[in-house]
Amino acid sequence: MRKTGWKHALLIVFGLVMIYPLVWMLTRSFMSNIDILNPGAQVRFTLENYIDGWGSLRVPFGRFILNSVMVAGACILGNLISCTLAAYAFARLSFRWRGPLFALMLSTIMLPFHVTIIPQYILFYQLGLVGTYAPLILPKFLAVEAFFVFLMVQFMRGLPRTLDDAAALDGCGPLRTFWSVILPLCMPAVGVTAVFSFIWTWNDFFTPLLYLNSPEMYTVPMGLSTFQDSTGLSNYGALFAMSVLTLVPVFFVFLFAQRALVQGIATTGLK
Amino acid sequence: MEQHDNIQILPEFGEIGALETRMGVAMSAGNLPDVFWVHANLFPQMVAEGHVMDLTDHLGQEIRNEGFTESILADGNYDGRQFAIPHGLQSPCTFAKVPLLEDLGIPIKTYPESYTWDEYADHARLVHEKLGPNFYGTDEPTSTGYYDPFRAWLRQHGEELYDTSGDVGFTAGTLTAWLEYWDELRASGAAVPPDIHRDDDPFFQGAPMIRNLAAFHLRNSNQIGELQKLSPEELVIMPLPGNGGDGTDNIFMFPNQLAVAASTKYPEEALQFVDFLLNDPERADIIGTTIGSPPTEQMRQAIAPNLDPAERLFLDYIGFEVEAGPRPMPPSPPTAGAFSGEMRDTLDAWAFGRTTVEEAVEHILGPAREQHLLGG
Repeated sequence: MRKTGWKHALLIVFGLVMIYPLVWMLTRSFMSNIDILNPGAQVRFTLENYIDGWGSLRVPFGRFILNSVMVAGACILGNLISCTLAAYAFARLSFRWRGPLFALMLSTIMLPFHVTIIPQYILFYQLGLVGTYAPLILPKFLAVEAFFVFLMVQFMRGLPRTLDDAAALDGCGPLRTFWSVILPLCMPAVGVTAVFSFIWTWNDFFTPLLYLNSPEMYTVPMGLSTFQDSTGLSNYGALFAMSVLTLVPVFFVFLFAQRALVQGIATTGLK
Repeated sequence: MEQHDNIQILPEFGEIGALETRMGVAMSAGNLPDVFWVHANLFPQMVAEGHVMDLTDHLGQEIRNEGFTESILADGNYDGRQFAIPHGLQSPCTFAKVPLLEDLGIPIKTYPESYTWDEYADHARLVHEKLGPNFYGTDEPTSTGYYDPFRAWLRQHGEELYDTSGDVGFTAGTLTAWLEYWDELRASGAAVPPDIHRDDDPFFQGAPMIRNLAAFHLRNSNQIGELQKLSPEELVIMPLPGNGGDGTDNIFMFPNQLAVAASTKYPEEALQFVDFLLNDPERADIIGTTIGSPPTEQMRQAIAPNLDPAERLFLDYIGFEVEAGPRPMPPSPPTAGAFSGEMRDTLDAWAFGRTTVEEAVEHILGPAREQHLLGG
């Protein structure tokens, strides 16, 4: 009992340390800019940061949220379609160069993201796609997220081969086997892919920074960055308030997808 | 633009660090905006790699250049060719709280006069003695990566941050004297301790002077409008120590500059737009002093009636500096960004007492210089 109590106390302390920055940001989002900068000042509760943040930019903040929802939705769809199909091919089908191709795909996980930025930018520029959402969404439909492909492959390898044989006996081709037999059994891995796709896309600042020109197209992280202008002067209150709003969808996705997430990770051998 | 309804302007804006990254990547693909606000760190490389239009032959043609003095144009000039034109002038200065100086009997010195560095140290010490222990004289700019006061110190000693060949333009003795000067100020409480700078960004809301922790603030003069809004007390702009009196030759400015992409598909319209940004009184009136002072006296006079007193102080300040005709400053080498980054880390360690002055100087003029400026 005493042993468990210690563990709980330790976990509570650790939890408090982890949540402190969030609580700090939440409380500051209800304080005026002057109070934020003067820790000793008397604190007055205000909602002005939320009102300011939502409407003070040339484009309403709601537009950034809508843009992010649209981009995140398309990226989830792209990753689910392309990564499950690619994983099915690697896990279940026999074709020439399967091993080397799988190794090649895995090696892209180890390639630092920064190495590919400029070639990728040049490619999209030559295709005339800079200034559109295509550079953010299109790659997701081409199974470039090797991590998700690997995750699905691991999961599919755990499913009995006899299922494929039974489906073949019933006259199923590879696509029908994938759709009717393998995919329904992969739901935990699909859930993990969807949740991580959402969180990574929602929080991505760098890709929209490179490819989006017009403020009307900005996603949430880009919108947040406009609270800090080019001279370094910042509207901290509005920045904190909108950051809190931005975290709400991520919080709910985590809350509702927590079980699927744990199950997915536990059953894919990525413990 | 209402005056040119055949031209559509799509503005892009953002935080300066993010913009720099974005411009760096866009540059590699030859996709710079048609007209852009130049960032000092990237510009030498942009010119060297041919990404920027040579504007020399367009000056006095599509781009009217009346009132642009040689000293104003010097910064965008590379090897005798003009690649950028200033549209907002700014320069380092000393801000101070007027009532506080008056209460302590510290004289306010504006152009053509200025404090000497010794006087500045004495005044800063006096502030701490009278108003301390938690109130200091001045912020300490060097360890926070703000090198303009150091540049002024170097120029007053006949040296430069970079020489014309792209190497460092200063000696170990001058850097050592500078760091010892600030060590002494910190030790006596005349300069704020480094941890106070680390609480926040040391400019605007985060400046010790605005946080009511210091009397003086060394920063760019175009910030006066914003700083005055943040300060209940009246502020004044004074020259950097040593830059008044006989030292006006050492004045230097860092104009915000405009450039045109070499790859633009609309060169005529781009040049027309640059001319509008530089020479249209209505435009100058709308922008005011946000990005610095308009570069020409004509535009300064056009906007002056609608400015508040603090901004008018700034225009007078810049007006004097333009007239003073400061001696040119060699351009920063393409790798200046990397060198100053390492210098900043080294001086950060010095400010927190993790390295001595000797070790810091040795590192800056040794490995840092060799790696970033000599290509070692």
